[in-house]
Amino acid sequence: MKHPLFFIIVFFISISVCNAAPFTPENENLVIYQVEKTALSEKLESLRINMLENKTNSSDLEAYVAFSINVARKKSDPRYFGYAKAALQPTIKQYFISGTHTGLLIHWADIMQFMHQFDEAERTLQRVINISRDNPRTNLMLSAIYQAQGRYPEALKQCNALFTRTSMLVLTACITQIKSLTGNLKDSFTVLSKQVYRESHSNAVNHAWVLSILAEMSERLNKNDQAADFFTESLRLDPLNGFTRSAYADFLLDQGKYRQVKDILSDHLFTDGLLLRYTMADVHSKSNHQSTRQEIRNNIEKLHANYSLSQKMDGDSHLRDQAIFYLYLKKQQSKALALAKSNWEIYKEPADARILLRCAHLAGDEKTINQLREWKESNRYENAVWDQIMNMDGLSGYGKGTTL
Amino acid sequence: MKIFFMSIFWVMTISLAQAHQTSDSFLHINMRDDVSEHPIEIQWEVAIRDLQLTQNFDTNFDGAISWGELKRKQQSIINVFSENITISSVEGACSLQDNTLLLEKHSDGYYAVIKSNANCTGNISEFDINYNFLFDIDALHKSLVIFSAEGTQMETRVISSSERTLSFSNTPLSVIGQFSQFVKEGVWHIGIGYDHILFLICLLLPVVWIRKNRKLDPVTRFKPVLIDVVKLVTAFTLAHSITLALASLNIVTIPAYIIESLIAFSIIVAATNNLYPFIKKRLWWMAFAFGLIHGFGFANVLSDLGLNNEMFVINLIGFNVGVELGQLVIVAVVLPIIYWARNFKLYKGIVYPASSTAMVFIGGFWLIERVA
Repeated sequence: MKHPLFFIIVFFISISVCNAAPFTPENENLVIYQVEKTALSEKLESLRINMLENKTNSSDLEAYVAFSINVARKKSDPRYFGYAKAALQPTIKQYFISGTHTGLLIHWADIMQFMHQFDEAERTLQRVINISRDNPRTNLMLSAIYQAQGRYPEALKQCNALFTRTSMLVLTACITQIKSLTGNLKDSFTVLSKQVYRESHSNAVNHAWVLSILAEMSERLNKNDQAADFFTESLRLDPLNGFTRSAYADFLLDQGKYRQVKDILSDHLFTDGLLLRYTMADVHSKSNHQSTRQEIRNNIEKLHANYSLSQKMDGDSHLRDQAIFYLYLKKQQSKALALAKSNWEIYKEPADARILLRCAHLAGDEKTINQLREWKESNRYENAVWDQIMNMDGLSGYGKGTTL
Repeated sequence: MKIFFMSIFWVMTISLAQAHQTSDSFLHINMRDDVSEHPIEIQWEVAIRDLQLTQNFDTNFDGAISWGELKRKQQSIINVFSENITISSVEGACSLQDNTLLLEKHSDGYYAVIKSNANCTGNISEFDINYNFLFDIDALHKSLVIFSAEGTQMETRVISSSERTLSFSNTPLSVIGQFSQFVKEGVWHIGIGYDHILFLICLLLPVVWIRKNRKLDPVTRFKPVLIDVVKLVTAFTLAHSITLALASLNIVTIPAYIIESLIAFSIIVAATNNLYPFIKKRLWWMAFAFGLIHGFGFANVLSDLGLNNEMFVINLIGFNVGVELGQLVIVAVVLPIIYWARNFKLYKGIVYPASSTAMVFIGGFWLIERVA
């Protein structure tokens, strides 16, 4: 209650909720919901019926949970994680104690990871590893969690544990991704580039993932042309991947290529993160068209309402994007800095460090800047864009780019 | 192995690029003073998509749910409502009466709305809400409970599968309680409002000099310095109080980005004036003029805090008092230092011009940021 952000959130939620007006439609034929009848939804429903009819059968339970999680990922719809969690919740403790069904435990960890309950996810995955070392996915998940928290030595240890248990491409990507964050950017880039060339026939989604890592490394090495190529190819192989699209949009915003940002995002505005970047590009395009200006105003209002609700309902998720929103679209630096700091307490990925650095620089918050400098030096983190901000070269570059 | 490969990207990705929201509902609880019978009004808003998980509304199986189809199932929807939402006073569960079904459009689609009145026995100054809708199907479902009552701050809290019961108290916040809460907010805002602090410091820096031709002579007595500071702070305070009130009452509204840009501009002007004085006397006029702008900035924050209509004046005064207290702290810290340093050549020759120059640049930087 004491934090002003709470009041801000409460206010906007209250406004948005209070302004809504319930009504009685005059037309009985008004369609209010389209029932989804696809192969996915029908399969999910049949798996759900199976599960409910055979409540003691863990295979039926796993089939439903696994499928729900897959649908959640495919459709970027968190409700399906909710369905999976509801199905698992009554029995997961029993499986944790008995250790009889590691598949279910891994799914549980997956849900916990999605909910950003990292401690519970880690505890569950460690339990799986203690039971069996058969599933390399466990190590990958742990590595991802440690990486998000900036716990690089532990993340690397999990990658090393994959040796001989997965393909060389996945192993190399896992290791080099972390090495690139801890003082070996150039070598990591070279090694992973060679490996991806050797295994160019690999599964498209995997390949897209590796290319997105290479794109991010190229960006940090200031190899912008290569970064653009990697991003483009990654999205060609996995066009529905919102993370890569978002990272590519950030990269283009830095380059001041606002037209391109709009081109790659215009058909993907259903997520707040992508709508945020599209609106930033719109703002910087400096269009004088009345319709564009109105569209910008509408988008900013929509994002404001969505972020306010999400902050209240989902706690600490999307804090990074909220900080970006308040910094660049609302021009409220103090609020952006507070959000970026809250985000940094939980997430320590390069993009989290970067928005915090940017906010701290603008606010002249030397203490935070020094903390970040220490973090950078202790990890031997390399990033050309970061260096620009640190050296205040960002002042000149800022006119050109947006997210420096 | 194929499934393992297919999921690598997902495994290595911590969050979901959410195209949809998690399942939510809204539960408004409004305590009314103006009716003696059933003073608790309830409005539950639930997405059709979520409601549809509990029963089939597409009775003609055409793949679309119409308002008519929903309306024909009104009673079963009301049953879902009354079976899953319980309001209890100290003397037991209240009965939910006068239930009506309506519709509402949210950003993510249509929501069914149940309006109801709770009939409770005994004292209702404290009551519990228990909510159990959908948790056995979607464990991430949440309900935002919005509680409002005459004379209290609107309160919003979240019900989730792990916290299904909330307790509310209908005891109004005291005037002193409201006032002190807003004083704290005012102090906090000055504390994190770097631009306001910088502007104030810009104004304070020259008060320890007397300008003679182009020379800066240190003042010899503290009293005139104090009088100057009082004039400056009073002018600034008076000005921002005026615009804070005007903006809070919605009499004058200016978009936030314009105000934020003008605040940055005020720092440039004040800092430039320290270096190349174009307002040599009556600096308090500048404090007043820009104070008007800063007041709109404070109003943006105050509006975000959610003013209570009943206690509007108390909230406004409390926030303003907080801002003043914050300012006084800054003055109390800065003034002794610059008064002490005024006789040092290092301060006069280097620190004073360098800090003012830095402030011009910082203000300029913020201006570019905020205009861009």
